[in-house]
Amino acid sequence: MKILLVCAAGMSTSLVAESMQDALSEAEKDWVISAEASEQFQDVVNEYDVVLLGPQVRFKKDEFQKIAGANIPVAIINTMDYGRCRGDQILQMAKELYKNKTVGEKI
Amino acid sequence: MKQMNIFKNFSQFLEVKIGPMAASFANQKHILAVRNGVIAAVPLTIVGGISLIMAFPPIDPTRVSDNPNIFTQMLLMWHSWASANMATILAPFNMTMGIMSLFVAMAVGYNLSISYKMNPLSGAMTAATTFLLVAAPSQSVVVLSKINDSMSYPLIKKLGQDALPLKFMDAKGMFTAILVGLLVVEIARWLKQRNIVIKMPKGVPPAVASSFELLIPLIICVFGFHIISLLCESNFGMLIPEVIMKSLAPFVGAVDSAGGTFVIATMMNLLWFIGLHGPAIIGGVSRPFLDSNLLANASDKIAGLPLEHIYTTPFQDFYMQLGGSGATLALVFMLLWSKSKQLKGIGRIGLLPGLFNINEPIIFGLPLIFNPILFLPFVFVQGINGVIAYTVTEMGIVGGTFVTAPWTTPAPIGAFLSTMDWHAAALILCLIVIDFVLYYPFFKIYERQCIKQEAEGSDEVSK
Repeated sequence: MKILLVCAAGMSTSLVAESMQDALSEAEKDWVISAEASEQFQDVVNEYDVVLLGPQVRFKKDEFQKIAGANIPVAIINTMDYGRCRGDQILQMAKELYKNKTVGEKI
Repeated sequence: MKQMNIFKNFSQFLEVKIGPMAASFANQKHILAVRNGVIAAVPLTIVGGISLIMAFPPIDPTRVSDNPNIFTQMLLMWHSWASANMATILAPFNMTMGIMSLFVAMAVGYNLSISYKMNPLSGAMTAATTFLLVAAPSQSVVVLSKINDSMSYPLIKKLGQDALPLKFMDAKGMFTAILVGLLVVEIARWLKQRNIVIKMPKGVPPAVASSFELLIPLIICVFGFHIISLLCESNFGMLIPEVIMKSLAPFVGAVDSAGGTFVIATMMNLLWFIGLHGPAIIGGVSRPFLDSNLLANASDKIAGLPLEHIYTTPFQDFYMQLGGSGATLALVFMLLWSKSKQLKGIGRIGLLPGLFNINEPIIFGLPLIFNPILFLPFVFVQGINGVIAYTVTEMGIVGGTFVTAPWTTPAPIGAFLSTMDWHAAALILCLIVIDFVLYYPFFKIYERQCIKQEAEGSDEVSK
């Protein structure tokens, strides 16, 4: 799975990306988790499966979901998980997003 | 209890009323294009800044004692080398920051085109040409160094060549560049919506067809703006950038004041308080002012004039957002030494990013958002830093900023590099101490609460 994290400058999400990488299991080591600035979003979004936004740029969600299209879910990270860099929690959230999306596709 | 209710209402008002307003403001296409356009030019200001740092070593030869130590001697050598080679050292500056407005025009046109799903390269090209036409119409000039006293006037005239005057391509052209970038794309969009384009018959390769699509907007922008520019010159005796700068002068003055630093910081941090990225939202409007102030200072420095502005982008990045929005670096140190396990943990997560002015872990993890106890320092300390640093700079105790260092540079180093004055780093240390004092009483109340909760929490576990 490929996960894109977005915040204003891609700085603080890179901290979160790192802690998510640490939370990956052996079998998931090939997953891609990257952080980008919001200006970069539309250039890179198509390379990813799910998009997670830092809560401080949550006002971008509607616009980003429109650009990403129906196949790439965009969600906002919980503020506490974000602040405390709880990579495992956020990773769980990404997995659920991805699962729900593939379930939706089968129907 | 009553106070808590008032506060709750206030937070709710911010979240329900101001939040969505801020969001639609930040997503507004033109504001977004300006913000992204100005930010796109940042790497150029940093490259230009390197040139400036080389040209202006942190030493004043008139104030050196008779027996300089080795370190001072090295600085003096640097100083004399820089003075002797000033023009060569500053060439990269002239071609980056010196013509910054050209790049801003291109970047604004580019970004607005993208948001309208139009060809961004066409938008950037039209913006660039149009900007050059109104801000730097070519003139016939003679290079001074090629003239000598024995030359007659006809001979000198023969040496004439066409040149672009750089005068309005730096800070003085910034607002013109933004305006031109937005206008040319709007004109192109208006024409496109009304289907006023050259349509090629089917079978013509798309690349060829799209090059013709650019033609009509380009013709209208170039000749339209040319006529406006000529009218402006003949009526006011000024180029458009000069007229725009004159009419914006009151706003520039209002932003560049101690009060301006405080008001902008407070607005940004009220947004942060409800968890929104304040600088990303307000920056669409404040950033062009701060960036053009910095460019103007750089030009002053080179011309040997006193710096005319104080509140610039690096001023905000290092003195005000010291450790991140809300000037939280001092708070991080308190967290590290806290008796509360939870707070200590957050301090550990926040320290390294904080040294590089990134503090989302503190803002969301402590949290500072919607935190009534820490509301006052979080929203106002950054503005207080602004007022202090502004006053100290105005008094001449610390040099003004004229170089852009990346905002993630640790504050003492960043402040030093942007002023090339050791006093700036000392000012940062003083501000950390002041911020510590300002945050401390509020931190103590919050810490007591956290320790109490932790004690109760562990009681529950033992039951």
